[in-house]
Amino acid sequence: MRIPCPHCGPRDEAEFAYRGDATKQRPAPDAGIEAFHDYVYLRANPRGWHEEWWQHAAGCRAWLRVRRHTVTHEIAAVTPA
Amino acid sequence: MSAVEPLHPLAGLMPAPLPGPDPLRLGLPRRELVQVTARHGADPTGLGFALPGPGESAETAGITALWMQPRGWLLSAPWDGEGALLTRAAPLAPAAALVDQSHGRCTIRLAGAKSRAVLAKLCRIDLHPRIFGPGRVAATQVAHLACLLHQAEPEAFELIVFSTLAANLLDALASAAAEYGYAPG
Amino acid sequence: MSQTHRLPAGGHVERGATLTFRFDGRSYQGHPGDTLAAALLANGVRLVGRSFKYHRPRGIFSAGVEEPNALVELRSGARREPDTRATIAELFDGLVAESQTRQGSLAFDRMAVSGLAAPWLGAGFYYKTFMWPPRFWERVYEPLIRRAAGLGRASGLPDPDHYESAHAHCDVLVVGSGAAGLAAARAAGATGARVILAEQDFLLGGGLLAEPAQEGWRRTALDALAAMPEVTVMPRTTIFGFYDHGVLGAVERVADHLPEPPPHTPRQRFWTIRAAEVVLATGAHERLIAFPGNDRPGVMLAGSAAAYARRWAVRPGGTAVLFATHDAAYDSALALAEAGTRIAAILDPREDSPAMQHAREAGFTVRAGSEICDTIGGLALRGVRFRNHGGAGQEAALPADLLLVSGGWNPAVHLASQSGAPLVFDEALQAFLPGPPVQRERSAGACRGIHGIAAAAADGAEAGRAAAEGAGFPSGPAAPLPEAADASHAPFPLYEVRARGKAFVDLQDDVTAEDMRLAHREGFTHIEHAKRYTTHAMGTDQGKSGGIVGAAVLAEARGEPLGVVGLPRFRPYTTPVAWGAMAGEAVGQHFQPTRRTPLHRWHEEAGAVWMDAGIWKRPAYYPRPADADAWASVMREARAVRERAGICDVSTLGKIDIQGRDAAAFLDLVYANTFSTLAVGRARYGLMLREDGIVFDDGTTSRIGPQHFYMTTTTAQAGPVMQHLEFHLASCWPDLDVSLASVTDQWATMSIAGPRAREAIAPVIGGLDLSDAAFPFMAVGDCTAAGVPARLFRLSFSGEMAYEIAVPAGYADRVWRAVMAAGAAYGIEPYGVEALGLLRIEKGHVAGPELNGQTTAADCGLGRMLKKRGDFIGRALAGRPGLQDPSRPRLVGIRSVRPEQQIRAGSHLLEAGSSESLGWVTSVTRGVARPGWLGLAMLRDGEARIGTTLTAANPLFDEAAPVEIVSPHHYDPENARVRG
Repeated sequence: MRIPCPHCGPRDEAEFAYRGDATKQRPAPDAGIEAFHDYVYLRANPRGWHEEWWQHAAGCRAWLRVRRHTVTHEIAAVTPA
Repeated sequence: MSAVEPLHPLAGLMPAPLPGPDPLRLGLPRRELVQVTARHGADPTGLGFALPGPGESAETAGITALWMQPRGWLLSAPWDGEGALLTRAAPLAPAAALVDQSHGRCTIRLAGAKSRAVLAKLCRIDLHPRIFGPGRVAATQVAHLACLLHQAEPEAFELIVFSTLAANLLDALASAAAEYGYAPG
Repeated sequence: MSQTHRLPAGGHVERGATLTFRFDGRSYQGHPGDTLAAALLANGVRLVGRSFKYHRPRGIFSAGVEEPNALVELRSGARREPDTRATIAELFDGLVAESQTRQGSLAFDRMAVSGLAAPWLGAGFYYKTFMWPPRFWERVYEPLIRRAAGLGRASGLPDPDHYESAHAHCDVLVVGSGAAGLAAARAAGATGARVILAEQDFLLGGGLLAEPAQEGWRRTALDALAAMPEVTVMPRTTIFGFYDHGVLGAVERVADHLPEPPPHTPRQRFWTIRAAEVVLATGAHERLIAFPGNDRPGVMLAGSAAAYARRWAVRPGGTAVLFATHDAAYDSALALAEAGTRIAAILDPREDSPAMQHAREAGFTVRAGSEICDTIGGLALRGVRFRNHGGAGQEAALPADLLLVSGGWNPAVHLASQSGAPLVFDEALQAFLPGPPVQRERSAGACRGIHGIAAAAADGAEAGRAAAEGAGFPSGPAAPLPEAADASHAPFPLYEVRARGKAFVDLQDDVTAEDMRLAHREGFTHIEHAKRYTTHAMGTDQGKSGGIVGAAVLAEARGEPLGVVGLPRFRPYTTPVAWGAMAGEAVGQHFQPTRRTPLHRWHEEAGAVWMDAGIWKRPAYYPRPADADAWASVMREARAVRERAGICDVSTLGKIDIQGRDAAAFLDLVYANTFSTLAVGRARYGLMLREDGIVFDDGTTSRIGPQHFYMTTTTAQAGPVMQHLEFHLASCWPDLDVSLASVTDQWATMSIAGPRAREAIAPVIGGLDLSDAAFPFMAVGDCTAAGVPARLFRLSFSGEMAYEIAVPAGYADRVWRAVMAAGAAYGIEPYGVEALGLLRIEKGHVAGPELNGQTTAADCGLGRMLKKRGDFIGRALAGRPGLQDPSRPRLVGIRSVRPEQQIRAGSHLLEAGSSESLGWVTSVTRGVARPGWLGLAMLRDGEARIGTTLTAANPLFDEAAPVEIVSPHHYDPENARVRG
């Protein structure tokens, strides 16, 4: 795969670190155990378009929000966090 | 401040010259390096020139600024004594965090007609003159090591790498250059 | 006589040079330009191997990568490479090859009797026969099968050659240099686009190399490409995989055609190519027909035989029969006739066609409406039997030593399919063609069913132009295209002639048409299941010639159209790639980088025994001649720390410079304890949790200035902690003004520990009052060390009074030596990671074995560190009932009841007579302050069990040691010594 880093241009997947579901937002501090449980453990695993966190770890270190198709690996959008 | 000359992380590790058809030159220029990270919403000025945009470098008065990451640059200048560049960069301080990396990173220079061919064995990015060129900078991997790659001249690249990993890069460059030959320089 | 079958003129061989080679011990000669197969045929060698399962004699079947039979062990000694296709191995002087899959000589193979047992050896034979008893598998069946089954022997020696990887980028990648590929590369190159033309063969031209009439066009095209500065032509380069986003893999055989690689030259180069647009001009592989005896030496694909005649100037047989189902194959009869082969007859199941008429007019005997139903001969073909198509009427025989077969052509759709394009069945061509592209690729020429030189070249030129346009290079001058009368490649759909005898659909794997029907009868009706059950198309040729034939047999058995049954999925690699090429330079010391601390050379000179800590090299200990063993060295070093002073390189710890208005607030969020209250000039131990409430890392963080902190992490988690901080700053708290910089490499750090530590460093340190009052435990200050700028920390991991000196890395050696010199008077000794571990276990400090990604702060006895107010990562989930359960295993100390009885880490803690594990031993050592084995453990109801005795059971070593459960703080529980 090649991921178009908004800062560096298209780079090989090998330069990136994957984190996972970027649709999750860290809950407010007092949201409670259930909310944090969902944040940490409940992950969408769609067949199709997905929002994911990738870090350009071996490049500019930016955390990126990547919209990727999990079947075709097509990448529709990459935006800085 | 200190007149003591620091040890280079690659001292004694430069390989002996290897003759070949089109030798590369491998150099270890001693540089001072200062990492600059802009504070939130601030635009670091005061060096007399604008810090460059992504993938670019800028140079003035012997200081080269290399774009490193969003809001982040690396200043590079010939060695002039411990802390000298940090002092010179002080005007940036109100708008940026300054961190001396003169010992933390080291610079390896690769020059010669085959320098792109050598890098093509170690580096995944496109260095063709239509895409890259003198003055361009890339934060990327060279020989699987995170590296700041700066094309200093049409046939010369400077690779800035973590000092404790630099021996691996020097070794990889020498191996990749072996078919063309190399010599210090 | 040498090269008895070489023609006097023509072809792409250099007759002026002679190469000598050996096959199965006999010496032969060939010419530059030959493949091993061509040279063998030139010398009249017909029998080149035995088949994989039945040990049937086999000859050269093809002239390319689709070869199923002519697999040889190439070269000798450490360079011996098994399963190499003789049809693509470029001949060099001194080449040595051996045939495979034989016991005894090739002509008399002792295992050939397995052909007699053939009825028992059908598909699924292994699964059915070697079932019971289970223990027989490893000892009896597998060795037996391995000895009997085919394929060559690996050398078993280290590969003496080196390999390398390389990266390329282009606007247009053209794969294949036949008529379509050359035209495509030329059209794309003419626009000024950066073009790579990759060709697996050592000569460029593909099928054009067997078309003397097109030689002028081929040469002109090559000259034109050579004159284009942005066109890179890569011969001997196979594109083996088409991956996502225009990334393709290739292997360049840099030195395979040489006896051995010249100095500093890799044997092969593994390319990763990124292309904006790809033109696939991969051509087609000729299709075999399944009929009894279709594997006998002398049976050859028709187009391959023509290639041997025209490209290699070899006459592959004296008397030939052509069995073809389409017009284009008739050209091979002409090619062979020109080479002096007598064409006994052309057999064609069709009743009439333009080619038949032309052939008759040219004087060939054409038997329309007929089919081959058997072959005659032993180790070589002596004749064929044929009959009317469909089997009516009498069989007849014809003598022949060469049978040319063409059941049509299989477009080489492998790369298109790998790129994601669907495959669509074309009825007229009886072939699967690439459907609409998913990636930015297009096929041109025979690989999309556009056969014939003229048509393929025109198709290629248009594809090259369109690809360049797609990459942003809209126009270039058009080049002339070749002119040729293209015959039809649309075959009569004859896949199998059903008659008595073995009709192979896969020659390499010895899979017959009947095996496919057996798979169907036994329920393996899906093409993917049938493939695996029969091993059809699973050999090195991947069914390039016969894959579709097996699918057609299965389709007939299912009663469904071939287009519905389909082909098994195409995956990389399209042709075999050597492991060496994949490993590239990542072998030996280059397997992974090593990280050297700034003090590496000092440790080396001191004779340190190294320990790998991740990729770091750290001194484990420094042996001395008087030390009886490693333990003696470690105990000596630890004792020096407890009694006098020791110095340890701790430069591997992660170090992060943190600055900004919100730096303190950020640290409060990422640490479970508070840092905003830390005074400038002080350090604090910090505990970091993951968001799930489990301990992530620990370390000390110091406040350098009001908005400036210096964080340390463990060696192992330095990278992950940086990533964790960056992620949370970017995604959760983007408004915080915080800057992070890794300074792990900037600072070298050395720990000087022991009751005499202060005295040892005092002569070296300048600019600081080291008294307890001025510089107490957990103080931090800037200073000089041996005259260079430094930072001093009063921290302790060992439990002794200790200082950590941080200096810019280039001065580390100088400062270390200065401390060693100053400390000599106090008996200072360097200590390594082993003594460091000993001291911290004795002291009861947790480290990696305790912070193992499963334990909470409370589990480690650090529960009180969690701040009561304010948000921090891990706060919410650390409060989960499961993590608050008081009976969770807690950190305790253990001591061997019999002090000299070893305890091992990983042992389970049991009550007497019970086998229920109550916990596990995490870290063990021999003590210096307290002699005997001691350690740390995680124990259920740990605190309540302090004072009891349990058994540390280690079934792996069959050991059971009684241990006393104690406080984890084996040494100085009041923590008085660190304060001096």
